Amino acid sequence: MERRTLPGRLTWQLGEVVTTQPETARTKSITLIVPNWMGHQAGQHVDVRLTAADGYQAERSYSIASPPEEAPRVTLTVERLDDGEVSPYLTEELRVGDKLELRGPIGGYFVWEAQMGGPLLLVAGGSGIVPLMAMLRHRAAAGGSVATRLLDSSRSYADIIYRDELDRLVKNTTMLEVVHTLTRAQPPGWTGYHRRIDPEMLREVAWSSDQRPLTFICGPTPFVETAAASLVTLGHDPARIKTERFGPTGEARNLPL
Amino acid sequence: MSEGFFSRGFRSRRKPSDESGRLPPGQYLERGFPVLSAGPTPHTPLANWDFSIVGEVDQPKRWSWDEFHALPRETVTKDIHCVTKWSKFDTHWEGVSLDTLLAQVESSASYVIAFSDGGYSTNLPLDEVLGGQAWVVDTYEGQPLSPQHGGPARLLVPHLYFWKSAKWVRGLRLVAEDEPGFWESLGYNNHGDPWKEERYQGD
Amino acid sequence: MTLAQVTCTGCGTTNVIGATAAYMHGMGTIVRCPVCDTVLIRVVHARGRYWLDMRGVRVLEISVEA
Repeated sequence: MERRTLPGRLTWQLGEVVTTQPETARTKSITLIVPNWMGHQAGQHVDVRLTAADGYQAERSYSIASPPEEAPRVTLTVERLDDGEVSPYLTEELRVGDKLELRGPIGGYFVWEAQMGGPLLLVAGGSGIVPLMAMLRHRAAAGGSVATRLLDSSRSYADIIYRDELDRLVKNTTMLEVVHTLTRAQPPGWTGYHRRIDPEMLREVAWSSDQRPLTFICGPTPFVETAAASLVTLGHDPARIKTERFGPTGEARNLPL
Repeated sequence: MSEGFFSRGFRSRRKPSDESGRLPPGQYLERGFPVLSAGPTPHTPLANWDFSIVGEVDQPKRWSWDEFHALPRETVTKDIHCVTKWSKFDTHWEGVSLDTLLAQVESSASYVIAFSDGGYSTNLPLDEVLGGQAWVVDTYEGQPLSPQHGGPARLLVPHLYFWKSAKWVRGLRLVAEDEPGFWESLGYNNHGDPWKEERYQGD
Repeated sequence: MTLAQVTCTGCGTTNVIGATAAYMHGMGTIVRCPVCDTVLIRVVHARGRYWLDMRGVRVLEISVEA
């Protein structure tokens, strides 16, 4: 039998862009085929590296939006930051047929597999929904029976990433509830939450602490701090709360609570 | 690593100061002077300090601090490059050239092992520390070299990655056969040329 | 929970790994004995490999609670 060396997680590989799909005005999903992809778990991320003709390089981390079941297709959902160096390229310049250098998957801490069970509590702030969406897509592919609640914070209705797909998942799977809060602007007739998350909202939306949910929180650092602290105040076990914070560069950081 | 690959349509943000070609591949320009330590900082009193050349030499040689300071000194301005990717341009040092020190011994050895307080060592080919390529320096930017940066004296070999410029250096051991030092025996490149990006073994 | 203890070849004392002095040098991690500063463990992570030198450890004891 021929012995081949497979590239590891820290080896840079080339993926080819096969589709690009706007999600909101500022976010776009990019699907790549990565021939030597070794598989991943929902919640993990990749490092992406851009190289200019003179050798100048820029590197950023992005959560994987697609579930493991879709490998070797890997989808990233990228939010365009106005003063960003990499996100404007990915959301505005990159096209089908282009190659993109990436390595991964990275991150063994902020992951969920269906066999880990639940109930599952997902708390998303803006583009923090991306790794949680990978978890929801994996959940659906795995039969979708784990009791799950998603609390998703967005600036406005138009800014809800994956909005239609979330509606479909709620309709087509059992035991999934999605609650939105819109923090800056609401459409006429909106009856849902219209403020930033706080302990009161979490008390109403989250599982009770004696149900001992597995909780994943992802978003900007202040959002994550507030959500995590609120849940702990409500009696949730910090050991069952996992957080991922997006820093100013958009880089994901896995930190235990 | 994808050789020769570049991202179509991605514009470089390389700054003009880099365009002189002074920055080796994979490096960035650092304004500060990072301190990297593998252990507690040694504090050797000058009265106890000496520098020795030992090993495969006709006669080992030793200089006390005062004797070291009586030797011909040079002022050196060099770019330095750390394997952790930072580089500093135009760093100013003062000290004694290894040409001056090694002229005091006779040897047929091909390699030197620089050894330091605290147990650190690094290995170099003898011909890469002669001919104006290496110094033992005790002054940085006009001031006595601080302990955290390797004082009272450190080796300076600026054409190689800065881990070869051993802090708290106390001497050189001349040997016929190369012996990998502290980092070289733990996955780092035996030679360490930043222009060839010789960071790790196998590079 | 896993507990790891190292016995130092320099002074013979045994310390829990968490009580040792770990120097997070940019090039690698150096773990030293808190009593005598002997280098116990050196780790470099580079090019997809870990390089591990444990010459300073006489005995490594790892206990795993069931």
